[in-house]
Amino acid sequence: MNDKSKAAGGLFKWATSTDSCFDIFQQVEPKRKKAEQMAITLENANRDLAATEAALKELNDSLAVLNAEKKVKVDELQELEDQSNMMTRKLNAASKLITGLGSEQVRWSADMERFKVDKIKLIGDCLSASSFLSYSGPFNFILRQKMIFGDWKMDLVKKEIPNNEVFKLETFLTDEVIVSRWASEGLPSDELSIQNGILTTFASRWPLCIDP
Amino acid sequence: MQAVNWIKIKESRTKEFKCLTFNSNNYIKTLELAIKFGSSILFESIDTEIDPMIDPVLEKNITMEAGVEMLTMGDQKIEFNPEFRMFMTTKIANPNYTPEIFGKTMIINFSVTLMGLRD
Repeated sequence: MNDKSKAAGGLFKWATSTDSCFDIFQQVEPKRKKAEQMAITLENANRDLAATEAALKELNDSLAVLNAEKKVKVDELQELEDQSNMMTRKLNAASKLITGLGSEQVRWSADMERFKVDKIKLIGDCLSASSFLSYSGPFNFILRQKMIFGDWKMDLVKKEIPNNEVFKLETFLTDEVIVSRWASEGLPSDELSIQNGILTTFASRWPLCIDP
Repeated sequence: MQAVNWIKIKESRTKEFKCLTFNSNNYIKTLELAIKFGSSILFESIDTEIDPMIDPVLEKNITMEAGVEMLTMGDQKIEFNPEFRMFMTTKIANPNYTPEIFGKTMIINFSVTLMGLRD
């Protein structure tokens, strides 16, 4: 076109340029509009995201609170379970004890009956024991036996004073522990020596021992 | 000697213990201290006589004064410790004590009889 007319060439160039410019504008315009729209959408999305994040944070916070509460509750549960276990053990032990004691009841009742009888018999036994402590010291074994288990016993029976048929000084005034301690200290364990031990230790007057 | 040996071991195991005779020097003083501090006294080899000086102890001549047990001995008063123990022994096999002594003391026949030996 430049070969024919310079002016027409320039005009043609302008026309084609304007045409292509229009084409491009036509292409760009919807894209620009779309971009604007997209920007708005993005903004909205961002707003939504922020809101969602805030909500998430809130939920996380409440979750933490709930977790803490759960921990407390679990601890409580554990404690209660422990308590329940302990109670169960105690209950078992208690019921065992009760069944165990139940079998003892018979024996204890029998013991009580025996003690009731013994309590009455104490009168005569105490009289024998105190007479022994007061009067039998100077005598030898044979005479002592005759006094305590012969004459005095007969008298108790005759006067109908309740007394134990098998009255023994060794068990009434001492016990095995004392006797074995005396034995370890050099006192023989025959009946006479135990009687002498009782007299030496329990008499109300000071002892004078005939000890050849 | 059975009784003497036994008393010696028994009493010296747990507390202060002294053997005396009526011929010991100043035995009254020792006795007074024993009564005060609650120790044990053994009078060994007593004859047929008991020194009348210790009669107040034998008779337990005790009075209560301000919540304390006091033993009047001669012209003085001694605090009586309930832990105090007194023993006497004689070597005479068949002693002839007066009824007063029988009353004041607990005479115990430790002599070993044939029966005792058999056990």
